[in-house]
Amino acid sequence: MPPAAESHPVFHRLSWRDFDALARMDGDEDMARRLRRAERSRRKLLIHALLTEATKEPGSSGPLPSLGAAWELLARAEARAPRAVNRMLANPYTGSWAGYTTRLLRNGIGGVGPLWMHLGYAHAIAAAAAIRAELDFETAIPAWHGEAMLPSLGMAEFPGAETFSSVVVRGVNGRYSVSGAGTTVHLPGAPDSDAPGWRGIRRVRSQVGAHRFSLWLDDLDPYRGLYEPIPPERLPDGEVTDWQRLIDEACRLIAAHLPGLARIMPVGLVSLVPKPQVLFRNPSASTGEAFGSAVVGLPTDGASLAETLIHEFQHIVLGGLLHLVELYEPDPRERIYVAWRDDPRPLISRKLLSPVARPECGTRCRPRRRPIRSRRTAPRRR
Amino acid sequence: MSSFSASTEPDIESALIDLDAVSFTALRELDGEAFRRSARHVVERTTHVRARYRSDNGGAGGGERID
Repeated sequence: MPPAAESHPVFHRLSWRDFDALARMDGDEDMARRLRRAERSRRKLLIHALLTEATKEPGSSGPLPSLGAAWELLARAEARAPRAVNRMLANPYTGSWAGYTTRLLRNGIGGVGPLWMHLGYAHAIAAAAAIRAELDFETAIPAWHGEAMLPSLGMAEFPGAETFSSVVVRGVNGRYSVSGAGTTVHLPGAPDSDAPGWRGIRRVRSQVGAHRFSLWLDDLDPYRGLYEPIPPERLPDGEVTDWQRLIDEACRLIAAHLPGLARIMPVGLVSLVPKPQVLFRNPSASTGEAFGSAVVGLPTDGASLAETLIHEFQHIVLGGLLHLVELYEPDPRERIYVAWRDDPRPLISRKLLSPVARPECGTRCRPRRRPIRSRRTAPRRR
Repeated sequence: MSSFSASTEPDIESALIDLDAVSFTALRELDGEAFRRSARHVVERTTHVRARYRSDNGGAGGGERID
């Protein structure tokens, strides 16, 4: 019997009421969850297309097992613990990996390293899901400069390994290890902590009254950048403490002045990619594909970080919306002037929304400072 | 005066098929017309994403404000 998605396909929907609320920056948690759910569907479609297409390419697996093994491990993990697989699908960098690898495969372009390394990240996603599901398993995953990423968990290091190699991940009776280049790295009981040869992805939590914020500080995942893979850039422990203090300050400000945003933000912003401080600037960025993540330079104070988080959160929401519905016809040649910048920029609808976030925070989180001027612009109905 | 009413206008239907309740085992077998159309739509849009900004591991895009 065909699955329901085949016999009675259902498509994601967005009511105009929700669209209006998003345009007013007045969305609620349910709306953010619906965007997140749509992202999971989008990632499943891309993973299906990638794995199906790659299996037709001879040699696409390189030294790794066939991609069918990744399907099977994901299915086993899902049967044991569906939340484990959902967690991997919701990981922002599953989205950026799927997008980047789709472009490599479909556009026939060269990337950073061989194609098998990127396709092989599917094994790493499956292995991380299997660890979260507490399965007994064995598989192989790629390592780049001797660094093997288990997405959402951490990275095992094998100094002296070749530039592009493979390592073996094993799970036996609740204990997990990664072996390669004559070395075995044992994952600690709490994978977000460090251990010999293992660097965990650290998490910062902050609670303000009923508002709970939880942000991963991901300085490891190769797909955490804005477009192409990048090597790890480990934050010293002292800077993690700085981030914790700044995130605490930012969350206090957001909860005090923008409680509605404080409720919805944890649903749509789950991971930060920490970058070094840039004097006199607060650099930050995000991409639609890494829904849930923002790249943020170490800010000078909590108010600056609050401003940046709100701004990037609006980008993330609009990125999710753009995956759900097409709001414009892209024309890469077109450049337009807008009220809040001096330079002409490509037309991207996100420009309609994101500038609102800064004055919103500028006026509420920084009451003694001059608010930034901007003009609200609403999407036009057809 | 606009006669548009957000409460009466039909929802916007996405080209994105809802797979949230579809397991990976079932996903692997999907090959219906609606599924293929949705997958084609997503893949085509993904292939057109361009590198407007390059990731810079040396310092937050060299300090450039990226948005």
